[in-house]
Amino acid sequence: MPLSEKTRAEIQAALTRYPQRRTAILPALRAAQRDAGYLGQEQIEEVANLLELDPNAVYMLVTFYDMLYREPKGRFVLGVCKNIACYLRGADEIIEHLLDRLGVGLNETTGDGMFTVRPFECLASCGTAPVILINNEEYAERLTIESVDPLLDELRARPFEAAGEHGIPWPILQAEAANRG
Amino acid sequence: MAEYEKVLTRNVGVPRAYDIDVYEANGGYAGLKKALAEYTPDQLIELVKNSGLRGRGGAGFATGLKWSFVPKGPMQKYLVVNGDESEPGTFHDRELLEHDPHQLVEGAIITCFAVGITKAFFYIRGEFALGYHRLKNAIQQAYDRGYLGTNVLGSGFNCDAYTIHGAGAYICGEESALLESLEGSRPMPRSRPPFPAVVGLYAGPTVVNSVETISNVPHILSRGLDWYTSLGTPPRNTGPFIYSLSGHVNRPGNHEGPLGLTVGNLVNDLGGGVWGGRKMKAFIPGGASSAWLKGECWDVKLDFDTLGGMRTMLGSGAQIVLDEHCCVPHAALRLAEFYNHESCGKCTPCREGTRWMVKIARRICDGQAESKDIDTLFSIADRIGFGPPNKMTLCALGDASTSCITSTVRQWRDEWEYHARTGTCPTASGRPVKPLD
Repeated sequence: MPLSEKTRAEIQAALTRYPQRRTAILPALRAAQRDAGYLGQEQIEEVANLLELDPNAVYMLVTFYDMLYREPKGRFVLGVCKNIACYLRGADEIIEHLLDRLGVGLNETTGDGMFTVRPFECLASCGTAPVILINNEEYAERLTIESVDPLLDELRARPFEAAGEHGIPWPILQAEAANRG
Repeated sequence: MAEYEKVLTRNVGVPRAYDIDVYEANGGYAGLKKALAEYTPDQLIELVKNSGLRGRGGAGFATGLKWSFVPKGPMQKYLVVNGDESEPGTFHDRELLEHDPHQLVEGAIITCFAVGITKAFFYIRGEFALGYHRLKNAIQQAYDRGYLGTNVLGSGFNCDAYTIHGAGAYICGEESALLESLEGSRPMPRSRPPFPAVVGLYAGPTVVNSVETISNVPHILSRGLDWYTSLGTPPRNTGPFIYSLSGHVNRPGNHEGPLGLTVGNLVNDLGGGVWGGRKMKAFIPGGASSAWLKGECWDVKLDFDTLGGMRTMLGSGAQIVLDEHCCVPHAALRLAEFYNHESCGKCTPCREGTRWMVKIARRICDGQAESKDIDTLFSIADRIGFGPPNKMTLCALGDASTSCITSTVRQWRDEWEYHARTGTCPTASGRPVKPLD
């Protein structure tokens, strides 16, 4: 599916925002992924066209960065931290429980397309370890085995439009929208 | 421990502190006004030099000195604020971005004025959605109030700010890789010299400083040099410092204090002691890249020079506590896995070495190894050096990847040996750490 008009306009705007156009590649890729959910061949070529670059120049970034996906993911990507600070506070047990509950392995997506679990190397939230990062933007902190199930239930109950990346955690987005009236 | 008034994190917990009205009401932007009204750029660089401020991002390089390396002249110069905080254990920049973005913006504008820069980039780690959002709003508000844009506060000085959101790569926290990322290339470190101060972003002279470093700058102006140097140990270890404390302590989190607290001050007075009344077995003083200390290090002062003299470092300012039930080889393996995952692959010793370190360390932890494998592990780690005498990699990641292995093999050799022989843990059974309760 081609990128939406809104996303194409966002990428065009990024091209003129920075002193040099090439700086806009990363913002363009993130915008495209927000729209399509991942960066397949079609999206990569479309971004390359908009940026007037060879698709290879774009592809080499997609393969480098952890947050750029080459294949579709679940509606909620759960990034589980497994590095030192979370590990010391029991992340392994929490990851084990989470995978068990969802019936998937690491880097796999549940059959209903709801969740993908991916391991993370430190999420800069070590003071509130262990943590899960939801869709690269929302932290679930100070997790315990008991708090995993309610978290999954809460995510399942969210409206469809809450899935994916918004550039700001969904609860805060909702709160700010409410404040504005 | 003496009374300490929080400075860098004073707005954490203040409602809507990320809003410019709240920030200004708490004395915000006073440092910038003072800088523009009372100082010339050269005097500002001199002031920061005299303050003793050193980079909080990892290397601890003198900030004023770095600024003074930028050549004078009309060429386009750049400031890059490094907010790609990804070192395991480190989480102070995220807090500063989410709670006090204006402090950072103010510091960045002062830095630009001091060095003659008109374009400032803020490179924020991709996972920091809220921090990025708050910073973008803060920059917009600063434009609206005339702190950014053309003719800042009527001074004739122009300054523009750009934000960019990363996409998940530890190596982007390395300054030259960060510049590559900003230029739209694969973020791999550059060969130096030339250093970024001379040839940096878009080949222009560039100052790269971390979020916490820049956040110090407004306070040097608004509170003065005497106040700044009264914290810590002048002349080389001064100022306020955010200790990111994590691991087996009762109160993990960001604790601010003067630079140079002892391990005892930090872990017991601020951190509430080791959890469960247990003993401390090991202490990591400066993020995942620093060499580990034995648990008896209570009187060691946490500052750049003291730790540097002990073959470790203050690094990114992250302190991790490991209690007596913790298994050292397993914990070290976690860190080795981190570097294996994050090595960008440009330099062979780091790309191949980190992979072999993980393979061998895992075999040892599984008990499928013998004593000589520990020697092999150590010798591999010892050969990925960045610093002299064996300068094998272009950036410090190579060196950083080895300290978790070398320092633990040196100090806990018996535990590595026990694992190699038996595949079990002398401290706990199989699973190295069990959380309390």
